[in-house]
Amino acid sequence: MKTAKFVGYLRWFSVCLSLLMSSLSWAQGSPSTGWLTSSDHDAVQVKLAVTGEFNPETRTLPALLTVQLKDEWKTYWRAPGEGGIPPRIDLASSQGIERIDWHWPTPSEYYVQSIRTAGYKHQVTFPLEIVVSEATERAQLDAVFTLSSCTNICVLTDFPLQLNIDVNQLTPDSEQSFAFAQAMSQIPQPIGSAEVTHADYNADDQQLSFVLSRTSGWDSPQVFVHSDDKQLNEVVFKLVQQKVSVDGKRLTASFKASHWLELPELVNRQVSITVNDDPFSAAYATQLDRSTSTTTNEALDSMTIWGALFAALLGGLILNIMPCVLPVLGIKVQSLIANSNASARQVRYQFLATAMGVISTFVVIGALLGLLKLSGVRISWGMQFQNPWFITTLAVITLAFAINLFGLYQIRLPQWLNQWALKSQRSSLLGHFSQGVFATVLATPCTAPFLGTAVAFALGAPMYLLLLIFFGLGIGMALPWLSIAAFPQTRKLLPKPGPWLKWVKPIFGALLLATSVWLFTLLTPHWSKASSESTSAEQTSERPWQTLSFKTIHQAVTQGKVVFVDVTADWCITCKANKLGVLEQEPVYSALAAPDLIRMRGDWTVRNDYITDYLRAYGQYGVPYNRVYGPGAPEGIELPIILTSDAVMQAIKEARNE
Amino acid sequence: MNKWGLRFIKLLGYLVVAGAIAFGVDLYRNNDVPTTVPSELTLTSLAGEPLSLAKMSEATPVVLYFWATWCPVCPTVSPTVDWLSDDYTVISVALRSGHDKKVSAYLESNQLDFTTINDDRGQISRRFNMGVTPTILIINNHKVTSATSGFTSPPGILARLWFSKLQN
Repeated sequence: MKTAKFVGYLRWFSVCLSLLMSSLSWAQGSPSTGWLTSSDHDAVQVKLAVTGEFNPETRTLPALLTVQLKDEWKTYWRAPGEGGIPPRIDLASSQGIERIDWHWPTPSEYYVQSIRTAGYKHQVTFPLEIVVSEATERAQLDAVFTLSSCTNICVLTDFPLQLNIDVNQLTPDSEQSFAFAQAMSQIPQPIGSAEVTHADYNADDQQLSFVLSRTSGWDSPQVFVHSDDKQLNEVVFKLVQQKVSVDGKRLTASFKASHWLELPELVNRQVSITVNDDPFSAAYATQLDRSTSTTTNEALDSMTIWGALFAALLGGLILNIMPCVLPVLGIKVQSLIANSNASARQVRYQFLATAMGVISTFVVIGALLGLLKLSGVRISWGMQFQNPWFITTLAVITLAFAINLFGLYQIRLPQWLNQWALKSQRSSLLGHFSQGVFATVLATPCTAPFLGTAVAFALGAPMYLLLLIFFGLGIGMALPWLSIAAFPQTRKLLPKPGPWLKWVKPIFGALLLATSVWLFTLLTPHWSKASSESTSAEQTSERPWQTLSFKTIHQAVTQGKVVFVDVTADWCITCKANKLGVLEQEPVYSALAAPDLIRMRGDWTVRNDYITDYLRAYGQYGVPYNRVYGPGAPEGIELPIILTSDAVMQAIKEARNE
Repeated sequence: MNKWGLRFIKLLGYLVVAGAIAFGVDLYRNNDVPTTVPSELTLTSLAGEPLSLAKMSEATPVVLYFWATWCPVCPTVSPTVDWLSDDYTVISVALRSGHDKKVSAYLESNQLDFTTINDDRGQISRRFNMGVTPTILIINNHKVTSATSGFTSPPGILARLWFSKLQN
């Protein structure tokens, strides 16, 4: 009897025990941790739930990790930026679990003063794949989930995650499965309507540059970079200047890479770029090319202030004989000959006034570029000609001057200015000063030998050096006037004024009128942006010029092709001279039509950050710019500013490895 | 009284009210922080030197700064604390920020010179009931006289240091 009772107790006990085991330990269906909170930090709660599915092939259990954040609390993405730490699960004393694969929804950017982080607010659901070890049926998750969350303070919270999963006892929960599928659809994928057209790394300034283009254009995209490469695990990518720049379909973003110890080599490494342009979100894996700016930057770094100043003087002087001066030739010649009967003293003052006009204009341009640089705008030489308002103003002024020269009417200065000018011959001096200003403004869109080097140095230098170099450029360009001012007797070499001047005036007028018409034609690309894109693929022979693209250059060169790059602008007369004088003449014309040669053009007539970046990559700030790439010169061969047939043919030959 | 005098008094009034609010917020935010520092507590800095907070606070108020490498707000406060460390006794605690080498490298690359204790596993911070970064405690003569989390301006910390001296 007693034994029977004991056996009864034992049976009852064993039933209880098995009930307890099944309800507490080896949960059936789709186990969940339920909402977990921390007594230290009530602004966040987390939940881990498996969907109840199990893939025996991959041995994975789909699961959802949901984080809820109150008010302004944020948590972080896998690459949180400068500070912040991604949420992570430490498997700790889990058993039968190999690893957990995370999927990261597209983050948003948040700023703490100037520090940018990538993360999530309110609620975020991470789809997880729990990988169960081989030959394991009962997996025991006994892990610690560490979540960082910040407002203007930061907290690191540990949540114990405990789940016991028997893969044979699972039953899929349709609600959880749907939630998982939905969460997976939020994970950014490479979407075909956008692509990474350029990705490179410059070891000199540790910067990564990306260009992404999207067929329907960008709105206000946020760009994030991370790498799955284990060696790049702790590299932080910081968005340069805290913004990406958008130009229609093209998006440009630069990131500065840093590492707490030592930055590993990034060239040829795989990185992933995630874009969030609500509602568009996508991620693209791309390999980092080597940035080609290295060599030129080194040359610039080793340049002394004296070298730059000398280059500025020489460049400014050469500017006087560049084709770009064509539009102001009339004004210049007139200023030289019309005054040869004045007294030496007068001539000295007049030429000094013109020189002052030239110099002060250079200093003003330098100051404006410096200010723009400080405000974070990509500055370049001649960029004013990319502005339709600037061109319109110039065109109208030239038109007024031309009409004035024809004698149709006299420009009337405002009365106060007139009175001021009448005193002590200021009238003519003011005129000469403005001639200098005008000549400079009109003649400076193109770059010139030495000028490019001096400008590149100046734009990368602190403000006082920038102004000094521009002052040097002004002195250089004003040298002809300054030398006549210093030796007034040299004016005797100029033609003597006489009755013939009467006939010359309308000729100058016609020249100025032509300049005005030319300026007005420059406005056409601004009227419709689409037309400027079509001109970039303008047809000069049977094969069109391709649009400038770093990616295409690299691809073509690896295929053994030669790429000829021509960066040009409608307002750059030196570019036109190169085109008419060399590119469209034999033997260059035929050489460029060779089947293994790709002609690529960058049209800089209107502002284009991609082309600016291309020029910048070679330490250039202006056009014309030509470069030839090929198997023999994958980094490219730079051509002189004023092209010659020989230089072009020689470069193509070298690039082809002949 | 003239116009400027009135303005001055108004300004003073604002400052007093703002100070009182800040002080109130401090108290509210950190009601879990212990009021005294145990005198037997000795910590070791990254450089290996033993530090007794209680003992140090007998001579002059000690600024105890809790921060972390994973805290995006901290870089806005750390330079201020670093600047203070030239004239005041500053001890910082790096909360769960990784191993010594990493914390040292972080301090060096951000040019932070303050004395730092690496609280890799968060044990020291737990003694202070401290899980929030950035937080600045001011310890005067064994007593925690002020605790403030989040952004703190240089005048804010200086005011708290003066206040701490007044209390003594």
